Amino acid sequence: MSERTLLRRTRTLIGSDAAFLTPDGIDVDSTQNYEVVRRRVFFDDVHLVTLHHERGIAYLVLTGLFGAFFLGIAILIVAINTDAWPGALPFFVVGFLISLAFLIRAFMGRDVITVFGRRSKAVLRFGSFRSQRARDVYGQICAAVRRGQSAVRTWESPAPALPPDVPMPPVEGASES
Amino acid sequence: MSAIYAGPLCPSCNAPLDAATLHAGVMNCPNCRKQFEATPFQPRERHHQAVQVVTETPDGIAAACANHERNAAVTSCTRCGLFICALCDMNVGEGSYCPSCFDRMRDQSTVDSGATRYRDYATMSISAAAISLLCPFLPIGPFAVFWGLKGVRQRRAEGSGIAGPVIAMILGSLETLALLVGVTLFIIGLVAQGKS
Repeated sequence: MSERTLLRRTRTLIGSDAAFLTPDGIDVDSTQNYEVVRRRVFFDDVHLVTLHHERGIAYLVLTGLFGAFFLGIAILIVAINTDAWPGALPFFVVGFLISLAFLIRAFMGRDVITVFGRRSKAVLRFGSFRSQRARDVYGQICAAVRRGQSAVRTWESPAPALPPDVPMPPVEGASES
Repeated sequence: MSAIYAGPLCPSCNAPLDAATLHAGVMNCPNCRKQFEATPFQPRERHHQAVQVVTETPDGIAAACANHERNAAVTSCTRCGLFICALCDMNVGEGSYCPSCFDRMRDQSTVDSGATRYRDYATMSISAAAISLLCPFLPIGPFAVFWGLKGVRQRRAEGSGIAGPVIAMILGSLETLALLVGVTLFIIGLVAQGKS
């Protein structure tokens, strides 16, 4: 297997995605239930690379609902019996952490790089605090694509060198004067 | 990857983007008006040049492609020996294959560079080790060791860390050993009880 550099690993509830930079393109390994599905986007096939900021509606709805649910239970326990606050503490901690994740995503969002190839695309998602890393990777990918596509052009169609003694066409302004 | 993927889309709303309107820098999607930074490229069009003149020899028409009878064969399939033209040549750095052999080999994961689906043995090994710790009476330790060995080989080939499968192998070995000792002691106990 050729040399690969890890660009980004994203973990979700159902699996994880790892994006690697290879000499020929970008490999995205998606792990689902002990099975890895590999997708490739080759540099000489890339049409467009984009970087955008998103919040992720599904994530916000999910964390918002769960956070509110756990905090609600904690408040309910304390409202019924103030002395039972130790019982409400675990619910409060879980609810607080989930709500914190909701607030961080809602205010800061996250950066997403998408590489559109001819037949496939690769999506790299970065955490809320990894904006600079996203920009670095975006630049790294664009430079690699540029290098890859120019290498193919140079290899396939070398520009013929002009012989040094070819006379240049006469310039109109110069002949009148 | 979507099955209906057909080129550049808006990264926010997935509406198709017109290649003529793409430019480097900050762009707004004409559909959702959301902003994104773009760097367009112009990939080279691929042209496969099939030799379309099949030469005639005294024995008849020689070396025509098995799939395209008007194209001359440029090579033969390494697996089945079928004559194939430049259009049919599926060369992935491990020899030339005809499209049907390539599909078959990719399905069976016997062609490494064409494989798109494989098992994550390292994670399987870690899970087996974890289960063997939680349920020590289940004989899962040997599986953790077996998958761990495969996982180490796989991770080394990828250039990733091997700490996970190695720890899983150690735990699996200990669990196997403990299980063997337990079973042996149990049998000895039964025998001793029988004698008495």
